[in-house]
Amino acid sequence: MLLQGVRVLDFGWVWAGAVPGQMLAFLGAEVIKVETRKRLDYMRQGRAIVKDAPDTEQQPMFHNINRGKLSLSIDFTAEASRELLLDLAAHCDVAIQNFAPGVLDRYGLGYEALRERRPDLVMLSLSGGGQQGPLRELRSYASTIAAFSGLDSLCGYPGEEPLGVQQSYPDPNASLHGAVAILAALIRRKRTGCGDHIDLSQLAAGMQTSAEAMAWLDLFGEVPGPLGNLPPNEEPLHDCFRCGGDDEWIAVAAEDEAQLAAVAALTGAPPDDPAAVRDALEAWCAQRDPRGAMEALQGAGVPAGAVTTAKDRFEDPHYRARGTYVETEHPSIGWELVYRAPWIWPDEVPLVNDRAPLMGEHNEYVVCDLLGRPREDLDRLTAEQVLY
Amino acid sequence: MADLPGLDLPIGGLRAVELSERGAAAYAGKLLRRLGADLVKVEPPEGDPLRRDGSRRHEADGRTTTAAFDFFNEGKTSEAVSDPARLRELVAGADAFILDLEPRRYEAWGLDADALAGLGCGVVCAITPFGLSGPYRDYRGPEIVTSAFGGSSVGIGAPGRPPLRMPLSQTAIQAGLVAAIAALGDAYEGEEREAAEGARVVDIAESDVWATVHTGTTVVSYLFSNRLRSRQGRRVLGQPYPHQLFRCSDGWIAIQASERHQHQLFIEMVGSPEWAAERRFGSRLDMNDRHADEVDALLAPWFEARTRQQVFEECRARNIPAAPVRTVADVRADADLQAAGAFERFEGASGVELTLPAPPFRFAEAELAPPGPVPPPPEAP
Repeated sequence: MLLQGVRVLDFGWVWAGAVPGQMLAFLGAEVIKVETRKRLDYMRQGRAIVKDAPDTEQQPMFHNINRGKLSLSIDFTAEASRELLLDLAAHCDVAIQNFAPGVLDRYGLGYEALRERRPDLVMLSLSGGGQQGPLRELRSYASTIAAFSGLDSLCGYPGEEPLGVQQSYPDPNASLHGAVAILAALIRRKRTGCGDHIDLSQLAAGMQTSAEAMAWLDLFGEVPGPLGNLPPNEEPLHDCFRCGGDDEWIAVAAEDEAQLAAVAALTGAPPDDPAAVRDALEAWCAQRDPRGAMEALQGAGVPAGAVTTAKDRFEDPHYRARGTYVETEHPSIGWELVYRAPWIWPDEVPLVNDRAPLMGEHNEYVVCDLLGRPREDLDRLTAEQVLY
Repeated sequence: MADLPGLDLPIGGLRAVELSERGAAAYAGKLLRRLGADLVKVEPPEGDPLRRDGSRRHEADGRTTTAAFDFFNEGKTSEAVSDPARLRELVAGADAFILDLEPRRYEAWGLDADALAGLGCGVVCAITPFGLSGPYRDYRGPEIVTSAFGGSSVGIGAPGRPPLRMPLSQTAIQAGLVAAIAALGDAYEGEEREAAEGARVVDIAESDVWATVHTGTTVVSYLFSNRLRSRQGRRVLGQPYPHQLFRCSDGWIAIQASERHQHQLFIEMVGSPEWAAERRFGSRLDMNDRHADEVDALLAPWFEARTRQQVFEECRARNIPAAPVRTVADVRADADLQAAGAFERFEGASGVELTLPAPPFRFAEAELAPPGPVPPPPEAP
């Protein structure tokens, strides 16, 4: 395990806040998710997937993005929880939080308070607009970051009004930037003994995804609108084409004349007329399923990719062969399929494959084993709904 | 890292080599360099292909670059390498070697995708479109392909019309992030590891990067609820209303009121219309999934009577998450962002002065390496 011995106090919640800790868990850190029934992580809310009644243990999103973590259920707004969490901080190397700026400070659990107990703590504070300045008060979700960062303005059909990216892309994007920063600070800590506090603005992370379009302002004096499937330059073919099934599509790019000729040969079009090749490809795709078309085009040296739904990815032989989704057993659901880490390490660095924790599943481990408190403390704090 | 140089830089003294043809390794290299790594960018004598292709090209005074190349490569030191032995020499002893060649391109660099462990560095982050294993390992993967196969394109666009790819170079950015995390994770442990053990090879498939952390959660949702993400124009299904864009008098605004109290505040904001309480709209989820077009039409006069800034301020006053859909020109003109130091200036490879976003993380105790000019193409040998 690369991060063997690294312990993480993980206040991160929802999506953007949960994934930095997950990446550290994937690398072998012990990540203790701090959560409470008093204010449930949104990812524990919603329709249960194998029951009729709401159930905090039956949310697939949660099972994916909190995999490999431990769970301490504690109401950190309760006075009695503060001392316990400060004690826990002393045993941790990293803290992660994405509450609105100032919230943790209000409960005496901000960076300064945690650092008193753990002087070399590395802490990530992630928020919509950063911890300082006029954007500090920005309340955001991924959807609003996509709009505010400029990314939405680039998504849509060329010449029309924007549609937006319509997925939570800015969440994991911010998380991954956060994981990079935490690891960099951990490396510095190893060499200097000094901790750090990282301020990560989700808006600023989102702007990395629209930065290339900002370069257009300087390079071309143009404000780009929706880019759709337009090619980057003069590539002869670059679009999504309808296949035979119901709303099934394939992305095809011919990036040069040789690839265009290969498309022409495959579809029986005259090789020197791009419009005719496009028409022939449309007709050719309409008679095929996306995977078969992808294999035929790629086999001819033409970049092509099925536009996959979740069902397609679940069934796809390539993802299967690579174990992109892995089976786990969850006490409340039984068999389920979750995504593995976005990489494959050699055998000596094992992939973490623990399921997501049940709410408070590791309260005893934290309170009794880690903090060395007597069993009566655990029972009392549980009865008082401090551990809740 | 023997003499511990650059202790103010988070990873000062860490040595990394980047070999990029498709952007991903270059974004990883940018992150590592800004965090303090001693980074060498290896280019063929004709230059990184991203200098010409894969992103919109700019030519001025005989100099060529692309928008993505400039953003990904500011401040780097580049070395032109034509001899594979020189590449091996640079890589040997480095903490990390990050490359994003398609498998068919390995041979040209004297590399063997199955024998990267022999390179004698700490970690090799091998980014490829489809990975180093599996039936599609040799397939080609520009952005439009990985965005589609990874499950992002399926949700962008309008019903019945073609799916749209993620714009610009998102695959490169996300795969670059994953590579940077892997490189740093290895480096954290690596100080205690013997170099003689050989390089660890991390297989990073761009398709996996999309299919896991970005779209992976949809697979288990599908398995249990049979629900598939689809193109719904300016909204998404399976979320409480509103979770979409609204047209104001001067453009669009994104509003997401996922929580019950936020939905209530939203209804109050638009004047608590009587229809909002009608039973036929059902739950907040039904309102979104079944009646959104009708509700949008009822709300249209309210939104069209206001600018997006006015609506934004009304939302902010109520703590309803919202944001105007801004062009990148709007973003760059944002005085708050400018005051926060969110932008930095450097010279691009075609000689144009660029103003682009600075890295998004701030360290209280450590510094980032400053931005710098984009390296010119290698000199002709």
